[in-house]
Amino acid sequence: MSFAWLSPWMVAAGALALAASLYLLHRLRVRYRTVRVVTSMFWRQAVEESRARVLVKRFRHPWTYALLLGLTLLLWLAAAGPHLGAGGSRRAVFILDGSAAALEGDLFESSVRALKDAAARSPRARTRVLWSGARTRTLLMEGEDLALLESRLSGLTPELCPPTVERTLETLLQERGGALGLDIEIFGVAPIRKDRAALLPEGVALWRSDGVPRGANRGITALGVREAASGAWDRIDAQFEAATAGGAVLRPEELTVTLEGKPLEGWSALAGPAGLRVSLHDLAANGDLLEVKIAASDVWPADDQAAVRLPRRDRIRVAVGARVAPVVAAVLRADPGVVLTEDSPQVFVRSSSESGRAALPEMVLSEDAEGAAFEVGSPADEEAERALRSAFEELGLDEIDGTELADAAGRAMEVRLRTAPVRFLRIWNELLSSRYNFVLGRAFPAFVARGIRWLASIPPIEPSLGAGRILRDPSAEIAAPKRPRLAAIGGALRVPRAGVWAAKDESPQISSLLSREASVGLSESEAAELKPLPSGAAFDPAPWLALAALALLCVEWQLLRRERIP
Amino acid sequence: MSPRLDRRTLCDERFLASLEALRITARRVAPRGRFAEQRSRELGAGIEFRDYRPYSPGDDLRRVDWNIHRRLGRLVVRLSEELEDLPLYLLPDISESAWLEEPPRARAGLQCALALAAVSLGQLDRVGLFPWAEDLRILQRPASGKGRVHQMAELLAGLEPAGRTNLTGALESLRALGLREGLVCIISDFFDPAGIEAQIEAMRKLRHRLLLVQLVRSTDREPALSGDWRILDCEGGEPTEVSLTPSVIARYRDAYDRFVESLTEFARSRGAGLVSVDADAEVLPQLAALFEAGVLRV
Repeated sequence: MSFAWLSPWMVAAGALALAASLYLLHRLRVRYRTVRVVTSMFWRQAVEESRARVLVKRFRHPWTYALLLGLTLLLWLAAAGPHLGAGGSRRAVFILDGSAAALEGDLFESSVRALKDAAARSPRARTRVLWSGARTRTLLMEGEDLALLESRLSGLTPELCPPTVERTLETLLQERGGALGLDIEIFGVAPIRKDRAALLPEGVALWRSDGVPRGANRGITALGVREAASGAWDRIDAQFEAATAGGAVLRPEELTVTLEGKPLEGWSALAGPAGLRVSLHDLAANGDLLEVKIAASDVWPADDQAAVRLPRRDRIRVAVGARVAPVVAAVLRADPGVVLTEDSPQVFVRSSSESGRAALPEMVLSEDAEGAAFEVGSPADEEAERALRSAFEELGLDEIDGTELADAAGRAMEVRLRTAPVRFLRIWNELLSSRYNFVLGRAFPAFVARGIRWLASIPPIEPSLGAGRILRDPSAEIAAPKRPRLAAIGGALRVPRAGVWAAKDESPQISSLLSREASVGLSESEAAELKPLPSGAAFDPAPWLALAALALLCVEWQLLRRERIP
Repeated sequence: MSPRLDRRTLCDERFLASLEALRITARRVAPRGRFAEQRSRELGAGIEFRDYRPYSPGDDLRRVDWNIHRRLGRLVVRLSEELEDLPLYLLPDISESAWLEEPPRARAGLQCALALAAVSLGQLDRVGLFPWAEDLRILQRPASGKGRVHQMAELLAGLEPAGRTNLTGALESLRALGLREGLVCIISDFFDPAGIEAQIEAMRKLRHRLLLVQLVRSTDREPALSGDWRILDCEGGEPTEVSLTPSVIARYRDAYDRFVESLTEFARSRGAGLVSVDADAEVLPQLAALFEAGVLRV
């Protein structure tokens, strides 16, 4: 026999504790009822005789104790959730794959049917059903009525997101651990990696309901953008991959690439083991929509097209003060991503002897060479350590030869972080003099360019907005139409599913499926081979134990009525 | 404390009428009694001829049998059987234990006393009432006359609970009264804290004939109790805490049986009468068991 709620040791310990407690209760002082009689002389004799016969006070009412102990232990065993037969005391978690992988044919419907059958066979007290779609949801808690599953499944359809079963597994195991036996059965074709399956704790077994073999499929598995290799600020490079599975063939001419609906020509595909790879260079970073389609649709059309909205890269408007060193203005003029203007500037570059402009990020060239050589100011809401690290990387401070500058200055060169309402960057103006070779090094234009971009808070380019991917920008926010806005709030923000999203600045963004696992699955060497969970009718003795306890209670009542026990 | 019983509870005309056919007969009563219907151990000037004896000076010449003198020339005196009374000393128990339960044992005990008194008074015997508890009380000195039945009923009905049971002390007081030898009838449950042995020893010292009426109840031997009880004696004393298991109840029965056996054995060895009267049942049918063909021989 095994138990659903407690380990056998816990059950035994509990039983012993109950027996001991009842024993102590029986040893408690008896509350006597008082009666006046004429025959007390005989009672005294009877009691004195019994005292004379035993050394130790005899245990009171052993039959009452036995009955009470039996009754209590039966209820205790019933409460512990005893289980006989297949499955033992193991708990079961059924995971229904609600990702785009389930969109093929009637795969989802057959998975739902198999799930319902399995849930009906499994003990309700130890079975839980989870939905693994864009996010993990509980469809049926342990102990809930099976009818609830039916209602909660109605209207559910797979979501345009990559398979999330592995993520659900991680969450589940973090929540439960492997101390108790756990059978996890997956309903759907979402693949599980062998190495991930090998990491399952002892006592946790992974199963898969009868899955439908994947048919021939072709799909777009990757689509992303990056900084233009040419270095042009207002240009962007894009790349996409198309893969095949199940013996399908894909030729480059079956691919259609459009930019704002207009076919894009002049690209070439590179065939590789992963499929076709296409790179597009120097596309205008003006927010156009780039779409890729596979001409002929197949059994699984969810991955036959993908789109991405190219980032908009406007030049940064910078105002330069009159007393700023000419070398700085020259570097700014040479920067293709910067335009010097007094019309609504985003960044102000000035000397410390000039007055600043309210609420405008600024680069300040300090006439006073006291304090730190580099001073970085950022709002208080930015976490200090992250701000300093970001300042080092984004400003190119790590590329400056600080030792050389310190030698030339004859003093330590410090970088100081300060809290300020708006970002600012302050450096010694003296560093720009001929005494130092700072302006002559290649780090100087990089420092100025990066400093301007950091001050202008230009967000990093999101390489891909694929469903299920984590966004690179920690401050990113997205919102589906008529849905609450999602923000990272100090963590990672993942695009839940494919579709149209509104970015932080309300600009429309397109997220595509882009899941190689969903489109072509895993190779045989990568994928864990899972078998169906053996089914077997389990005998639940809890009701019978409760009935036995009731019968014992009746026996005790009868004995009490007949005054056989006190 | 007000009397627990009234006269109607003790007797009525039907009760007295049913006693008319009963008699108490002694084999020989002690001499120097009053004239009555009991045969005396002394031979004298009675009606019924019993024997002859030689004349001795001082004998009443009216008792000389002159026919024998004429035939034999010898002076012999006719001896006749003396008829005297049998004093009945009734000792009803009026201790607290006699009044505790419902109906109280005192009711049955006093009915027994009144019934025996009625029988004795009906045959010209004298009857004395000596109720007792912690000590003996003289309620009615020995007196005769049928008309006294109602007076005695009134006296008995007026009795009240009088403290703890002390039969040995009561019998000591009885002996000190120096009463003429008669029939002492002790009516009690005999639940004296001194124990049955002390009671037997005190009864053994009596020079009277004895009649013991034991007042019992079915619950004396089969107590209607179960569970855990603090048992208080109705006449006081330390409580006894007891958990009623089958073995404890068995030991209780053993103790009770030994008590009854001791009383029975004493009555048998002493030649005393002993009758158990169930306080819950009608008294007269139980008391009638003492009388063989309507006669109680003592």
